[in-house]
Amino acid sequence: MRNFWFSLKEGLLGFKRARLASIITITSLALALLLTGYFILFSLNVNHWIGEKRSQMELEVFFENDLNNAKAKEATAQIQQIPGAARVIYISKKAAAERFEKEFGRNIYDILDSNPLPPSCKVRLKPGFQTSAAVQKMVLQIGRINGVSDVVYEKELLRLIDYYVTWIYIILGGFGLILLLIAVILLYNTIRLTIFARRDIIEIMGLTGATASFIKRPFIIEGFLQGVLGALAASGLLYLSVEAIRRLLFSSLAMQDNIYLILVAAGILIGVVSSALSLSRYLDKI
Amino acid sequence: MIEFYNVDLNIDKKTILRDVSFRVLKGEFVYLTGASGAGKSTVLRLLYMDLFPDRGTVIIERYSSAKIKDKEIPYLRRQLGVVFQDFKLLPDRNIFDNTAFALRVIGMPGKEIKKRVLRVLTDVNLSHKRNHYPEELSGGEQQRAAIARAVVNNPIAVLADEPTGNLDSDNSMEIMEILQKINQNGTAVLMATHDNELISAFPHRIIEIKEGRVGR
Repeated sequence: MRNFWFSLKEGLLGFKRARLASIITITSLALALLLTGYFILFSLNVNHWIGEKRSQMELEVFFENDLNNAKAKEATAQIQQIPGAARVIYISKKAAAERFEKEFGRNIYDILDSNPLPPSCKVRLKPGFQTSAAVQKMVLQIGRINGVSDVVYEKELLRLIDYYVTWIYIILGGFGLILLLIAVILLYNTIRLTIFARRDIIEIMGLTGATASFIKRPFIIEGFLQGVLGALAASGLLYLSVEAIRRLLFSSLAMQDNIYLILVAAGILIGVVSSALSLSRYLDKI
Repeated sequence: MIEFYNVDLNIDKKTILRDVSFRVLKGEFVYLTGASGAGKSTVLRLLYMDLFPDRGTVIIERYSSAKIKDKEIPYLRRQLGVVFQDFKLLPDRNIFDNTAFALRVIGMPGKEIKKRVLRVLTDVNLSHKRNHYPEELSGGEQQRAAIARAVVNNPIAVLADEPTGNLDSDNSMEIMEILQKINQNGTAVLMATHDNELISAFPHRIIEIKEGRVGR
């Protein structure tokens, strides 16, 4: 316990003793994490936009024109049972005629002798069933129901979304991986250099009879604190950026609070792991 | 207490020590002499197990180079006080904390650390400079601080590697007197030096290393 308090004190004093190195490490860490935060924010909004487009997708099921109201309602109930169907809204012949009047401003009976609009229903899709493959499967299932004459949806748009989404995710994933790799290498090297500058101190501690873990602890605590401070700075700047974008550019910018937590966790992880790895080569002989 | 048995050591295919055997008894003061590069510092590094022999055995009390585990090395070093020509003080803390470090390593309570450090700094006449940083002290003062750190933990032996090598004759004499005093209190001293004047002024047994072998 006594050793723990000593290590904690030493870890905190490490900031004072190597002030410039600490400032450089925290700044690099903050910038790398801020860049990562911007990237996550961008990916989140792309994902959000794609999700919104998909959720607007709906199927229009047309029943046979002479199908009576009861049978059409029965078919609608069967559609509701199909996996992937979220909300199903039935539109009777009468309702279709009313909608026609609303949209075109003229009563359909003024133009034609009878109502040619068939009963239909609109099917909203559950998340996870908004892809081309899932919709095609649903269309086949709906087509097998008695009384269904046609199923219409924006097939081409859905196919395009599917195609581009795959590429967007591949590009975002690749870019994110490269960004993460650059950040980790940069920070590992920064921390490695600050520890390299103190290699003589580590050697002297070893000669005085300090165990590897006794020497290691203050450096790990220092790495932990550098990680926390760098991540808090990055989170603060990211928060300000999000607020500024919402006020000046897009008020509907999507943001999740757990991104700040991810940044803090990443900062701590990078700080602690880099310190531990950098130290191990000097502590091998102790 | 300190024993070398037929020790051979090669570094980068070059023979540094060949068939070196000697003993240092409890409470003894022994000089390790020889020309520069003869292998004096290597003998000391073998003692604090920074190096290991290719053949033969080094024994310090209950620790043997043949059997010691890596994790036991810090505990062996706590039994020894090591003093270097270039002092090797921690530049980022003051003289009190430099001396106290050897005690913090063993988890000694703060009160006891304070008492012991002040006593040993008084012994080397540095208590008034306890809050100074190494760079603010003269060479002689830095070496006295290094000796304070070496002895604060009551080691069984002090290993001094050319402790007067960077000092003028007055400071050298002062360091020798401190080492004499430490030895008189029962701690063995093994001092590497090639300063014959000091050896004459403070005569003790000599182990001479010549071309990697023990000369006399």
